[in-house]
Amino acid sequence: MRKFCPFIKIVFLFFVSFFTLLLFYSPALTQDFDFNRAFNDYVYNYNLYRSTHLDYVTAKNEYQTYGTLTSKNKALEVARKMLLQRAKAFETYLTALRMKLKEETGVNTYKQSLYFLKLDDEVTWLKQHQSLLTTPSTIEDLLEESGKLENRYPNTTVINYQALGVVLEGKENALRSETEELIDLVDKKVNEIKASGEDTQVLERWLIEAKQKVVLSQQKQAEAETLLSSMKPRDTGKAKDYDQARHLLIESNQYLKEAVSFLKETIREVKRA
Amino acid sequence: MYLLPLVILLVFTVLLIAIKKKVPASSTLPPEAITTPTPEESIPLSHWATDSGVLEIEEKIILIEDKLEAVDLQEVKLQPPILDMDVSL
Repeated sequence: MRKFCPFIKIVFLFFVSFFTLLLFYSPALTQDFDFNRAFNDYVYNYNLYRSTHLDYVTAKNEYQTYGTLTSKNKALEVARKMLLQRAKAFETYLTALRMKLKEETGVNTYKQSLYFLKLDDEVTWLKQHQSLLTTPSTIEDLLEESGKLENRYPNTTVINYQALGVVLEGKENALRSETEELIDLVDKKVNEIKASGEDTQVLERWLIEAKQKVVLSQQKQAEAETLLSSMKPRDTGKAKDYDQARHLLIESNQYLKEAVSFLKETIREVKRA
Repeated sequence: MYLLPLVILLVFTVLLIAIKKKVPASSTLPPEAITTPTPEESIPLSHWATDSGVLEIEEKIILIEDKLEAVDLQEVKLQPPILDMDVSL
């Protein structure tokens, strides 16, 4: 019986450690932090912000109506909570945007690094701002700290729109690059047909048209990029400018569609006897 | 005394005749014009139509067409959040 004791001990220990590991194992913990997770964090924090904002509005009204010490203290605490949540919601938004920029293929590397730096700076500042929001004991001090973000916000909004523009540009870059690769393939095939002694004038004409459409697509994208890079913090119509840039990118995409339709026509012609 | 039932009977008979005239005797539909399908114009294909390179390009065209159609150039959910930037007490 004694002989089996160490063996039973080992088996027992094995099972205990196995079940302990199983108990603490959570797929969520092993999951990588990606855009979807970052976006869910943002949505969660933004909803919390909206809820705390409602509390703040109520507490503010009470304080302004009654002006008692109790209502003042309550307003201070509720406002602090709301300001903390405002900073947190904004921080998680910037993180989600950063993840989008990271995951989007086709994004220009230089621009990606540049906006990583800018977004990281903002996130660092917001974290510091959150820690500073916990200290003020008076309404005046709290509002002074709140004002720091309010002053910084127009500049951060420019970064947001520009980074979002870089994401959209990345999508267009990837599609254009694929279209160009396709044009090269068709070009090679047309040359092969030409070398075999067949007439390729019509095919070459379609091909030229496709290439021109790609050039037009690039021009539209360049217009969008210029518009986004000229955005200033003091501009009142930042959202409008971003929307205009987005429309230019949609036009750029339309040109790519036309380029592909010319390629389709070329292949249809190739297949005809 | 017998005039009223006679008038009613007459009116009823006239109405019945009128209705019978409106409804066609047979409810059979006119025969549908049978159209003989026009033979599809068979386009003669070149020997390039079965070329593996050409077929590969065709597949790639379909793929990129789908991508161009599906691309999201709105990114609505990543629009900057609406935050109260005029806090006062």
